[in-house]
Amino acid sequence: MTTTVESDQLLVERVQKGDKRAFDLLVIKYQSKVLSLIGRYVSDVHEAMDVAQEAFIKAYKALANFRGESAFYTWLYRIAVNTAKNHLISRGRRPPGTDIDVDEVHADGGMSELSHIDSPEASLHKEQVEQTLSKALEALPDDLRTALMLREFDGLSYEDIAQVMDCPVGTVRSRIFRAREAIDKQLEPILESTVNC
Amino acid sequence: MSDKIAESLSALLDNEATELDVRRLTKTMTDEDLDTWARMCAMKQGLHKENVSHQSINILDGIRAGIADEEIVAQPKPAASGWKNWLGGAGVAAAVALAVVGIGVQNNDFGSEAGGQLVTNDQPVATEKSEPAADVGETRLAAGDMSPEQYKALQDKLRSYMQQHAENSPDDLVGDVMPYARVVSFEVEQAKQAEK
Repeated sequence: MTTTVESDQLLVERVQKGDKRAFDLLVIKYQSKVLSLIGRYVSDVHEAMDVAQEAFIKAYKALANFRGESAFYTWLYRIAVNTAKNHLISRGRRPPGTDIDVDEVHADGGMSELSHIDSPEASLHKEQVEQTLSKALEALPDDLRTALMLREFDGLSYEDIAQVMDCPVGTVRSRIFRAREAIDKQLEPILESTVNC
Repeated sequence: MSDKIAESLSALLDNEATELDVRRLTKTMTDEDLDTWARMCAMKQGLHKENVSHQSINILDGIRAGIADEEIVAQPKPAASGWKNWLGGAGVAAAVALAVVGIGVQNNDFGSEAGGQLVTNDQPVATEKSEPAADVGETRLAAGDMSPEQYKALQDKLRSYMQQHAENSPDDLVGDVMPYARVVSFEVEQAKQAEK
């Protein structure tokens, strides 16, 4: 089984071999964190989008030299922070004095200050998503729900879950996938109006 | 979308994907599969009470357009160990040592005369331009810093040294390193004779 870093590293290696599809996966996986991070410097959502795009493009161009000595997300977040700072400077604005701890952002999901996040519509949407998730989780068969919860909330690896549930690793993988598939059916109508990626 | 693709995406989300999963995904994944991936990412964020709104912002199209003409060429990784590495390292060390000895010899020969051909910034020789700070320690030919007249005079001087030396050297040494070594010491010898 692979770890967090190894999984990203597999994608990075595919990108380094010229596979842009692998970069699409990395963009979607990290866009939320990157936008949160940039949101600490740039509050306007359109401006933040431009900076995030620039940061990902810079990362892609620099990826040939990425050796995996640090985690991909740490490397990416540093590029995002520097791009946001340079963006402010280029517009005659001063970046905040204190630097952001990129590892902290990865751990806590980031506290964004993007303007659209604070809107009543966004809060309502967040509430809707959480309620749907909660209901969908409750409706799952026991074996699927247990496997998913052990993974998501207890952070267990597939191998550890297999031991806890006394089943093969392949079964754990399949159960977690089927749990997500079932939740996705409930979630898709709510997200499809907003998720465009 | 096939179940295999969705299962691979699910494993990727958990950082449990294998190389086979990643290869399968990047080879056969469609835009529809990317939508599923985006929703899976949003689902994970939602389960952890994070903001899902950021996932809804479409930045992928702009990024794709931005890298459309870019081709990544990964630098080859240096091999971890082995005799080839040792040989390579030894070769580099030998080349550096040779260069240092060579520069040392040439500096000894030319350093005594102003306007010599080879200069180092550690031991600056009077030239028309001052050296930029960033070049400190760099060794290079100073011909570009001379006026055309100075450069021509130096060339003429060197040519006359070579001619004088060629006349005095045995045939079997022509083309070897010794004639040149004797050429560069010619003026030092002249100076010594003048002192006597």
